[in-house]
Amino acid sequence: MRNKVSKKKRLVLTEEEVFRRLIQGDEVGLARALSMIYREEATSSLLSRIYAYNADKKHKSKVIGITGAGGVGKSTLISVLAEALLKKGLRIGIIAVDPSSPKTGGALLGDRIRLQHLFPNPNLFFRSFSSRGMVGGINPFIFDAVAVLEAASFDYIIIETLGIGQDEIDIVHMCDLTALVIAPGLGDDVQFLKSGVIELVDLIVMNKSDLPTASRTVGILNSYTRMVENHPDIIKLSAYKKQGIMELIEYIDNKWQELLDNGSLEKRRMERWKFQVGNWMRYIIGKRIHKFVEKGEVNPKASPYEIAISTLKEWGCEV
Amino acid sequence: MADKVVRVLVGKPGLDGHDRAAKVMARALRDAGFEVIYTGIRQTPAQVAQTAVQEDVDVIVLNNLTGAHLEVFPLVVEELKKRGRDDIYVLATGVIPFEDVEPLKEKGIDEVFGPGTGPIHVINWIKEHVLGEKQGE
Repeated sequence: MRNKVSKKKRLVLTEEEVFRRLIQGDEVGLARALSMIYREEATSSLLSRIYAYNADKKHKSKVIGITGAGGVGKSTLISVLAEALLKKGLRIGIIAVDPSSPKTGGALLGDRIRLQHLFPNPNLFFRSFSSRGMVGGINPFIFDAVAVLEAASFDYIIIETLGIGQDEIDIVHMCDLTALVIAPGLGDDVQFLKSGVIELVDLIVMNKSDLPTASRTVGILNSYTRMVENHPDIIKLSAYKKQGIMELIEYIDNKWQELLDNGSLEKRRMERWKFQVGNWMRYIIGKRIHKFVEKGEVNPKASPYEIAISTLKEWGCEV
Repeated sequence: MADKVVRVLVGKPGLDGHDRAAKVMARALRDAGFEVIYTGIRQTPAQVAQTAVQEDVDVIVLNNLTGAHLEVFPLVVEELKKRGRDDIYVLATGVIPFEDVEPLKEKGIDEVFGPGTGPIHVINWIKEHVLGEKQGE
């Protein structure tokens, strides 16, 4: 019934071209570098070049993590933060992660909607990722995506993750500075604080602070943070009303400079690098384990522990 | 699963706030196993094109229900060309009269899905053209 449409040929870029365009900050090259990593099409040589390039480079991007429960206003905060940074003439790269369906692998990535009004803009780059491919809650692609954005020399790199489970901790390993966003009146405040995230983040952003219950929540928070050594600072703001955003930027800039000057930044980045080695090992072994378990025969008489040990020994792992 | 990721942008260019169809489409594409990025409503052609470039999508599904498709859809194709990414498939959906199909195709729209078609037709088209999977009639 329909006319035959001639099949288009998807743009093909060699790794050489991708790398060259990426370091010039070209969007097509940058976007493709991220795709190649995400689709596992990149050979290790592209990543090697990117990491080597970043290590020698003078310009350092500020890598800022934004985490928190659903509905606290992470996307809105990032949108007003990006808007303010763009006004200062800075280049911003943002990565946002949304969940993918465990059934079909499909995903609806809707994090852009909050800041689409800032486009078109040559200084703003936004990439949505799905949590696809995560094994044991860890997605090595996101770590390498940060390295790609660093190679493109953004002034700020902002990472927004799903605010639940393992990711809260992962994001701290990924970023120079991590902010936990909270909102007043959440019944689960206390539970949330107990989970340990509070010990790891640098900053707690109290969003929606124009609401009347905000000061009470800050009071509760203060009583908890006081018990933690090197406790995170608390900043009150309202992303929706665009109040307190400049103070947040000032805080981030000062804190980042402090971490740089006292050597903590270097240390954190080394930890990040080490963590990523572990990520890749877990990912690769995880895939192999998944394959083995899928195909493996069931023997209810055998102990699962025994099978695990004997198989790992077969694979040459010391157990 | 890792090797065949299809990324689709559902874009609503033009002054049209009717997003139910676009959301239904986005959801259906998601359920077909694609990664779907949704721009939200009232986008300029340049906004849609820059989003497509940054997200490195395989296909853009455009939707506009105000009758502005003949003006606004080809502008998206133009913007993609400017950015060196006119290799991305552009599909048109919405209340598009039959006589507008050819003019849209002449201006670079790859296929038109007007009244009487549903998400399944779009999904099959994408599977055939992006994944190279032959679809039975």
